[in-house]
Amino acid sequence: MNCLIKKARVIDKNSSWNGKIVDILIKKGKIEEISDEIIVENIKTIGFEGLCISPGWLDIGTTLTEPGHEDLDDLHSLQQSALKGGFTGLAVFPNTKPSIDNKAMIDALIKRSSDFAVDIMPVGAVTYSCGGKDLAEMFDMHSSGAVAFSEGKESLQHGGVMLRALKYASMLNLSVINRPDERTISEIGMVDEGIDAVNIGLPGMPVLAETLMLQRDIQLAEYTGGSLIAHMVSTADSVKLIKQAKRDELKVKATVSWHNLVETSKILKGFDPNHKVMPPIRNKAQRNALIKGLTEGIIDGIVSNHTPIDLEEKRKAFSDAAFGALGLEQMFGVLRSKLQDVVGLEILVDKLSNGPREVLGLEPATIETGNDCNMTIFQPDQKWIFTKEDVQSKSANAPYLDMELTGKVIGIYNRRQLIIS
Amino acid sequence: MGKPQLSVNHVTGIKELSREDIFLIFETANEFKQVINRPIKKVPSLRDITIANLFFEDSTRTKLSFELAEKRLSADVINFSASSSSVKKGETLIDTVNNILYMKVDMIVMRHPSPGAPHLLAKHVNANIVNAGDGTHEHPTQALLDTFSIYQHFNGEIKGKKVVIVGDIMHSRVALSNIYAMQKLGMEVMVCGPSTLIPKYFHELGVLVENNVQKALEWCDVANILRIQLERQQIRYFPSLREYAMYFGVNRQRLDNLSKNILIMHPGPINRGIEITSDVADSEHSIILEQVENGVAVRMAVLYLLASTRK
Repeated sequence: MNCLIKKARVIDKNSSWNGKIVDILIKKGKIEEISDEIIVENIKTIGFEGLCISPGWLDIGTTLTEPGHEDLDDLHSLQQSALKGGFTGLAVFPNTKPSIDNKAMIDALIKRSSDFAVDIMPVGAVTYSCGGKDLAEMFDMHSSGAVAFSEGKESLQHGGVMLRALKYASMLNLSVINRPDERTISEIGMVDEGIDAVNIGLPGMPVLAETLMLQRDIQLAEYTGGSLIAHMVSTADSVKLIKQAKRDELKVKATVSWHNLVETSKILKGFDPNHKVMPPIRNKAQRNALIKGLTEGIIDGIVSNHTPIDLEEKRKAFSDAAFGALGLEQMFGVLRSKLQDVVGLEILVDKLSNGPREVLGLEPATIETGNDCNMTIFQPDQKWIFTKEDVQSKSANAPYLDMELTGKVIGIYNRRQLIIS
Repeated sequence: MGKPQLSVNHVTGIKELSREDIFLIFETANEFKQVINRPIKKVPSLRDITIANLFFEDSTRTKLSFELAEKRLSADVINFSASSSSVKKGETLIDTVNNILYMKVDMIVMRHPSPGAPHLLAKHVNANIVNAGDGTHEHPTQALLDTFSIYQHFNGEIKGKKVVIVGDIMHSRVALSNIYAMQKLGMEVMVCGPSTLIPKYFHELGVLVENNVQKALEWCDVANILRIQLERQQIRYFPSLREYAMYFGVNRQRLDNLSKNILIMHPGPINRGIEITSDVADSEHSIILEQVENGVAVRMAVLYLLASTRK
């Protein structure tokens, strides 16, 4: 589809137009022209107050529930959530039923989403059925389009398997994504260990559980020469470890979940099950360290940790409720609202757009004449109220309902499709 | 006198052999190869020498090859395998072997699952030891027959020849012995396979390491392809035989993509369709069956030369 975007500020550190307000003409999926003013008649034109554009946003580790739990979300509803939130790409985790642990599953997923505006990028399982034991056929999955390997929501506990996974994946120049969590330490915990956990009488997950496994993973990355993505780190210690790993020029990248940036464990006193997430929302010191890590470039990308959960699994007391919350739809608005004073728009957008692509080693989607157009269109200062109607997921476990947010997504352009939400 | 002799009393590994030793074995093997192609294939060289073949680990072709070599040399042969032995009754290796030696045995050919077992024997028993494979360490006669086969194929012009060893390098005694032998003979060696099957410090042996089998084949003059046995691995170092065959197997298409012809070798037994396809194993570039023939000649040479070191 052809269109003209009027008076939009470019937010893309890789673009020569970065920071400038320009008109952009898009024809047949490509950026045809960028200049101060473009006049074309009889073309779909987009013009809004305070409009911004950036390379399309990419979410790493989105929960996919098709096949297995189409009642929670299917590919189509997931795409709708992504579009609502401004995402042009989702690197989806393999924890489906059955797991995405073979070529056929990858092929099916790519085929099923071939006409989507959103790129569905499968992350293949490291081991069969995400069982943590025997390596799955990574070469084969890569040949069909796997962009990385991970046990997804599960942390890979076995050090030897992690070692072999990093080594094996390194032959393909692909990364292993692992959320560091030593389960024998975090065990029965439900929230961040600390005074806030004490005050609500819930068992805590020590920071140590994350630190121990991240230390292990970084050392394994060093030993094997493999690429590690430390997924959804949530502690100051993790930021320190990653900083050092990067200083040592190891192939280590890191993501953070938006929950850990916008909230502290104080919020848990309301016992809202939609704030029961993994990794847990931690205290103020940890949150501040994560924000600092983000602005200093130690953390490379922000992820949604988008996890649809059955309504009945959330309509329970906090301790009985399942972990997980929806995040794609409202994430940008909440991030922008809560971080306006501490994280500049350029950095925030970079961690949603270029950052995740760098994490996965993908080509940048730079806003430049002649390039394929993969773009998110948004109003960073627009106020709006996030309501039930905005939730596109089949599930309902969205935090921050009915909250006034600053920062609204207008739409995306990707794969020759313009989608205005 | 003046007849050339080996510098060692035992062939425990290629590591202990000198370049001259290897060439002496080649020359002798060459003569025995002519012998075994004559109508009368037997010579009396080891008459009155008794050789015990001690196989503490399963073997078909190495055991047959040694036994045939011994019989062609007119040695008396006794065979012993772990399943029928007193090893299971708790006797130590040295005791087992000394008991056999007191039956007046002169030479021992041994395969054992523990690396270093033949070296232990060599120190403690009074017989010439030939290592027929010690765990994941060495398999010297295999390396000698492999290099002898290359040597014959290239009419002795082997210096600078490039050999790639493809497969499970980590668990292979053939790979290590091959590398030692080839380096002593001035050949360049590369190992290729999944990175999980190549030990971390292998490059310090002075070999190149490559994970892309197509690139490895393009680089080499000779490809020595090792047997893959996923079913025997206690730890899974790679996902499946199927994926191995697709991404590391040597097939006709990979060879057709090369800008040259290369020599194909395999120590056997072959998993057809896994590490090598039938059309490659049976092709005109394969010398797999020559290797088998050379195996007997090389083992005759080793036994003969060792016997001549006896006082």
